Amino acid sequence: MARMKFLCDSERCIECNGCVTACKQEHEVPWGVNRRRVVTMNDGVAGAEKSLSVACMHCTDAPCMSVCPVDCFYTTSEGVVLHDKDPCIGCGYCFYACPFGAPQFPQDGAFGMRGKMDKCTFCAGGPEADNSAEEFQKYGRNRLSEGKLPACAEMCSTKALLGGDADEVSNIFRDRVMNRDGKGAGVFGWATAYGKGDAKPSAQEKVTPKVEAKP
Amino acid sequence: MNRMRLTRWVSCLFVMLTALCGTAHAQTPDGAQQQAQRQQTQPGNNAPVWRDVRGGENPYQTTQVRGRETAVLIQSGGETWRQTRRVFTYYGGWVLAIVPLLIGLFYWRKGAIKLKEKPTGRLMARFTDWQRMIHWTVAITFCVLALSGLIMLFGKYVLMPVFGRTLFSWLAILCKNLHNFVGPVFALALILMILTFIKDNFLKIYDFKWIAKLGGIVSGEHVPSGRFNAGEKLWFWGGVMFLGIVVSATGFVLDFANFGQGRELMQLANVVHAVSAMMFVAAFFGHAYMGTLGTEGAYQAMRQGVVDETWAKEHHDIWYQEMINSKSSTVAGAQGLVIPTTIKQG
Amino acid sequence: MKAILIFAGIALGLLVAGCGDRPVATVYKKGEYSGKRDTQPWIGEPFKGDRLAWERAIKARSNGQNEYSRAATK
Repeated sequence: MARMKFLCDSERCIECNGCVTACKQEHEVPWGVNRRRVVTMNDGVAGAEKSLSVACMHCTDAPCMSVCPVDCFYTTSEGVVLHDKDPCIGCGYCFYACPFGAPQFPQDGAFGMRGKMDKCTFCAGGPEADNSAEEFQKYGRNRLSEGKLPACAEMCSTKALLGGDADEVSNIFRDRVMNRDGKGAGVFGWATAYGKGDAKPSAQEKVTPKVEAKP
Repeated sequence: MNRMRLTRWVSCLFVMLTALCGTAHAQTPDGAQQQAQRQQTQPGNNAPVWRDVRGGENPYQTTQVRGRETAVLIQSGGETWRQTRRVFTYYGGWVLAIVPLLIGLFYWRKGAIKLKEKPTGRLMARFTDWQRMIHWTVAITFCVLALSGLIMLFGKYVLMPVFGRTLFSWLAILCKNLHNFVGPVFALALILMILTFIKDNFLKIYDFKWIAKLGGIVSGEHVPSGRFNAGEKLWFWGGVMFLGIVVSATGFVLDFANFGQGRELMQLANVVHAVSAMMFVAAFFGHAYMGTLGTEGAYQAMRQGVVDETWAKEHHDIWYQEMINSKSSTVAGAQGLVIPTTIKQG
Repeated sequence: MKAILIFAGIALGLLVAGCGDRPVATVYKKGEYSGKRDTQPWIGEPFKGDRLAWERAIKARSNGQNEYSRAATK
C-alpha cells in the first residue's frame, strides 16, 4: 500500500504561508498551535534565499513513538503517523525528540502546562470514526477518507509542497527536474553537481545573482 | 546585532567543543554568502542551505510563525536525548530493582540493629515539632514525586502490559499532574529542611573515623557520632542537599515551560532530572530502611520526637554527652534532657 | 592482593557494563497496536469499502499536482 510523504521543493516555495493558512482553516486548530510552518533560510540575502514548508514528516521510524510514555502513536496502513489524544498526558517528550518540531501543545491552564499534543495528521484524522464530529473536534478534517490529499499540498500555488504516495511524489519531482534544466547533460544536473562549463547554460545561469554584503 | 553576536559566541563555543570531542564538524558561519556564490558556479546546488538546515539556526533564518524555536527546521539534540534516555532508563531500572533487593538481603542476614542494654525509660527530646513537621512534609512529597515519576518513566514497560493502555493512561495523567503540582511544594519544603538541619550536619573529625569504619555496620561495634552520624550527614549533603537541589532546579525548568526555555535546555534538564532522581530514590531506600526497619527506636525518634536514653548513648554518644553536660540549654526545644511521662510504644 | 582482585573485579564490571544494553524502544508490528483502532480511509462514506476506487482517487489527486502532465493532457 501507499506510503504517504510530504516533499517541499525549495526552488519553488515563495514563502506565501498559504499552506499554513490552509491548514489552520481546514482543521480549525486552536490558538498557539501551528501544525505547519514556513521557514526561510538566508532571508534577505540575494541569490541565497530558500524557503521550506515543514510539518510532521510522518517518519517511518518515528522518534516520538518510541519516547511516548503512554504509547499513543500509531502508523496507519498508508504510513501516516497518527496519535490518540485520549491517553496523551502532555509530557512534551515527543516535542523533545522530534527533529522537526512538529508536536504542538496548546497551553492548558497556568504556568505553561501542556494540554494534549496536537500535530499534523496528513489530513487523516485520528482513531475516532472517520468524519465524525469528535474526530473533527480533536484532529481536524479527515480528507484522506474523502479521497483527497492534505489541504496544504493541494492548495500550494507554486506546487512547491507536494503530498501523497511517495512513488507519485517522486515521479512528479523527477518530471520537474528533467524539465527544469533542459536537455543533454542538464537533465541529470551536470552544472548543479560539477559547475558550469560543459553543460548547456540553463535558465538560471542567465540571471546573474547579485552578491551583496550581509545586512 | 546583539543576538548575532551571541549566536557567534555560542557557535564558536560549539565548534571548540566538537573539536575537543574529536569530531569534524563542517559548520560555516557564512552559509548565506556561500550559497550566493554557489548559485553562480553551480546553479540549483543548495548544499550550503541544507547544511544550515541541518546545523540548526543561522542568523538569516526566519519564519512568520510566532513561538519558541519555530525558525529551526531540524534539531539534532532530540536524537541524542532519546538515546541517552534509553540508556539511563535501562540501567536506572536495574539499579532501582537491585538496591531494595540488597537491602532486603542485608536485613535477612544481619537483621535490625537492636539496643544492647535495656531502655532506661528516661526519654530525651531529639526532634522538635517543627523539625518533624518539615521532615515529614519533605518525606511525603518525596514519596509522591518518586512514585509518580517512576510510574511515568517505567510504567510503559511494567504497568501498561498489566493495566492495559486506557487505565494506565489515566494513571499517567494523574501522576503527571501530581508530579507537576507537588514538585514545587517539595522544593520549598526541602530548602526549609536544609536550613533546619544544616547546623548539626557539618562534618567533624570523628565523622571521618566513622566513615573509615563504615559506621561499624560490618563489625557491629559502635563508632562515636554526634547528633547525626556520618552516614546521616552524607545523606544530608549528598542526597538532600546536592541531589535535592539538582532535582528541584531541573524540575522547575521542566515544570514551568512558559519562560521561553528551548528544547536543548529541557532535554538536558530532563536527563539530569531523571538520573539524579533515580540516584536520589536509590539512596532514599537506604535512608528509609535505616530509619524504620534497620534500627530499633529510630522511627520513634522522628515520629514522636523522643528517644530513650539508652538509644542516645548507643547510637549518638557524643550528642548524648553534650546534652548531659548542658542540661540548662533548651535551644530549639530539642536540646536538653527531658524526663517526662512514659510514651506509648508504636 | 585482595585489593587488586577487588579492583580488577570492579574494572571488569565497568568494562562489560555496556554488553547488557539492549534497545528499549517499542517495536511496532502491524496489527499489534493496543490502542483505539483506526479504520482504513476507504471504509467510510464516499467509498464504502471500495479500496481500488479510493486508490484511484488518491492517485488522480497526486497526479493533479504535476503541472507537466496536466499541460500535456490539455
